[in-house]
Amino acid sequence: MESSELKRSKDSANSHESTRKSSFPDEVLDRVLSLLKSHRDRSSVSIVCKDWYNAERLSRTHVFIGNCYSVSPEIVARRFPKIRSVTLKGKPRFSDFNLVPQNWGADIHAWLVVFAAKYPFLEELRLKRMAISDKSLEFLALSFPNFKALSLLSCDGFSTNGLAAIATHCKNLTELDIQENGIDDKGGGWLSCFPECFTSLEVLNFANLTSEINFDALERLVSRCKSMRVLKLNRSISLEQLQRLLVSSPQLAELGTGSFSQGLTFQQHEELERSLSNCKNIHTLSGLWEAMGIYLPALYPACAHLTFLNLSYAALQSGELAKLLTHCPQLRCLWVLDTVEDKGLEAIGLNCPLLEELRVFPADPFDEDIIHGVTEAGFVAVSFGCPRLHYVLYFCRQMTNAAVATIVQNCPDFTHFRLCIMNPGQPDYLTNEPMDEAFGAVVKTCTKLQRLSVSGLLTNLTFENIGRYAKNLETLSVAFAGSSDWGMQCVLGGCPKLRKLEIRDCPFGNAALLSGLEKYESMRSLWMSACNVTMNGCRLLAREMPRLNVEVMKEDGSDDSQADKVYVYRSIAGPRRDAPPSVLTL
Amino acid sequence: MCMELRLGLALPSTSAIIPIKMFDLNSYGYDPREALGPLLKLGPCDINSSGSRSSSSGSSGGSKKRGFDDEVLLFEEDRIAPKTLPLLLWTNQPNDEDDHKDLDDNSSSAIFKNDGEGLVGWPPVKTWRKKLCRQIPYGGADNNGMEAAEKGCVGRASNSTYVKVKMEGVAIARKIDLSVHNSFETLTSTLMRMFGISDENWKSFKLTYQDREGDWLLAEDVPWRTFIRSLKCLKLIRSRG
Repeated sequence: MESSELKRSKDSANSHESTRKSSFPDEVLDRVLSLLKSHRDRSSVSIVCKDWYNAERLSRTHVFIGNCYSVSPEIVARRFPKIRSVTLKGKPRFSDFNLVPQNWGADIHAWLVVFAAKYPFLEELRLKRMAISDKSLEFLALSFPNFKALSLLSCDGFSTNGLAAIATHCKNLTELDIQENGIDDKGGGWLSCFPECFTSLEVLNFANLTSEINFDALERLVSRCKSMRVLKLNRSISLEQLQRLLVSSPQLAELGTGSFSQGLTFQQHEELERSLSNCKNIHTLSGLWEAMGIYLPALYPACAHLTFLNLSYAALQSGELAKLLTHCPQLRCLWVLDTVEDKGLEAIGLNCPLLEELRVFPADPFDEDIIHGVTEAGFVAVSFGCPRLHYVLYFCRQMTNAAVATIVQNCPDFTHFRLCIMNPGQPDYLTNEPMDEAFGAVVKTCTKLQRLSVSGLLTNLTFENIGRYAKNLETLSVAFAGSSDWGMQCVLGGCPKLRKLEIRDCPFGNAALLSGLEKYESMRSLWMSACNVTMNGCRLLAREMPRLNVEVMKEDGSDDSQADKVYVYRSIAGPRRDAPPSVLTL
Repeated sequence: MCMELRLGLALPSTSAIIPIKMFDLNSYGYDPREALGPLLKLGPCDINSSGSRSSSSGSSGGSKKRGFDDEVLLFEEDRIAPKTLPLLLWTNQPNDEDDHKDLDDNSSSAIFKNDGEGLVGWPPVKTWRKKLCRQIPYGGADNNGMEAAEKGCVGRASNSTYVKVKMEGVAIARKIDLSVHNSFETLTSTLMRMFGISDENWKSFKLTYQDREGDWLLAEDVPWRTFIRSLKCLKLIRSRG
């Protein structure tokens, strides 16, 4: 909608430029631009002409920075003077899996200092994979009187003391969303720091903290924040406590329960069921730690309008899941553990015709000899029942080419296909062939594919196909695959929309690395670890492409000439100055 | 009776793990002096256009693409010939998970099983979720977390009492039923029988176990009750020194 408006404005502007000196009326342009929210649309607008560049930059209120080192806070502040909301992403994604050294960088503090000076009216800060200290959190809490929303995803470096500072000082806070972080949980006292007069909270997510909080303080907080729509509790909250919270917040739209395994009396169970059924707006449900099958029926009344169900902390069995799903006909998005096995996935295929996203996580990923979990059969069953499926993350221990071919035939609209066959380099277990055909089918059939993670035994053929067919691919993750440099060269030579390429443990060397010289400038970043790239190859890359930052992380005891981990990204801020000793900037 | 095949197969580097099938048995990785195929010229525009496809079949060695002109000094580093790994170990014991099909069947997976330590960051499960995994009890409606721990319930989403046991140096693990044991004595004699270890040899082994938090501990350090409640899997390691 907004893009077509934009196109019409662009067209008329262009046709008038040639006949008149004066450009498109400012008021109209400003009005149109104020409707533009997507940062990609705004980027397009800014390159039309100088006037549009200025109009855009003066009207932008939200800035998204996908790599915090691609630009400096000073440059951002100079270009966009009116920012009220910032989204920043820091470390490479493989830091989630311990592949990046602890003190790598991506510290938010330097940004906060600039923001405090240039954006005193900052309202929102959303960080992903950044390092943030308690000191920074306190600085944040004290520097921005209008601060409303803090979201921390996969961040580290802070403790619950930092959260206490936020709770204490941010009088206008509407959102506190603390997810999946490496947080030092020193206790639940932070929640009691919200003042008694504080009523503005709409989003509270502390699901990943482990310590007990003061339940009375929480109950009072929830009951006085009448606009609360998202509440995600941690495991310390019992079923009984959950029921009390639900009574005072029937308006909730997203609920993350606490532990779902307390012994309840019949009456307590009834009360819980009643309170849940009073919450008519719940569309997202998560938590359910240690969910015991006998308590799941309490959820049934709340499931009628459920669109997102996150069961990835509940080790359900197939029968329990099947029963639950019969009550969730509107489900669009489902996350489960592989304890549900293929039978559970069959139940998904039977009960969730509207399903668009499925994530199956491994309950026991590090046990190589386990013979349970899900197989190709489960995935195929889902694909038959859920034709709208377009996002899948699937961890399994066996897969076949034929199964994947069937799956994409049933669901040709995949935008995100992330398949993890957990044993590295494992072939099709029936034919013993490489899994090339499988991913060939994926890229040939799924023309809308934006994100792909490959696994299993793969030769260069997979990468030839990716380069040739994956025209919309933006993110590619590769591990233990490929035969030689040619594979990576195919990807870099094809895939016109490639933005992020992350590779580990593949036989790609300097020839492959250097075949993407110009390509890297159109990408956000490249990660290569445990491949065959050498220091000299990296130095050559750095020399040829001055607008790229080429960073090498050395591991203890490795060969001096080997570039163990390489991270390459474009930047207008130049090489960073805060790298730790283990990270070499070339 | 234990048969060990050593095929003198080398990896180009100790950290890059590559499927067995992709190997040229005669090379240690890349060597600029080995002209195994058309050489690549280094100019950025050349690399994509000359695109030699000689190694795309997958059955040839991994080193064909890496020749460079002499002017480009990218491979002046000497590569030390890395040590070889045993390709395949199999025993003729019953209760084996080896299906005796194709040798290749087991080889590509055997090379990645480095004795249960696992590869760093693989499978790609987020750290915090990894921690959660250890704390998730299995079991149905009539089983709570406590019972699961007591039975040493691992690996099955039901009330199983089987626990995985690995011996250092042996690629294939076994499963042992803990419910029939109530002391270290019976457990050790079963393990000795299972792995074919004699009384004298047993002294050179230590029994270790992984607890629910993922830490590896010595079985002899804890009382039986503690051991049986918290163990997830067992491993026999050779005691050194």
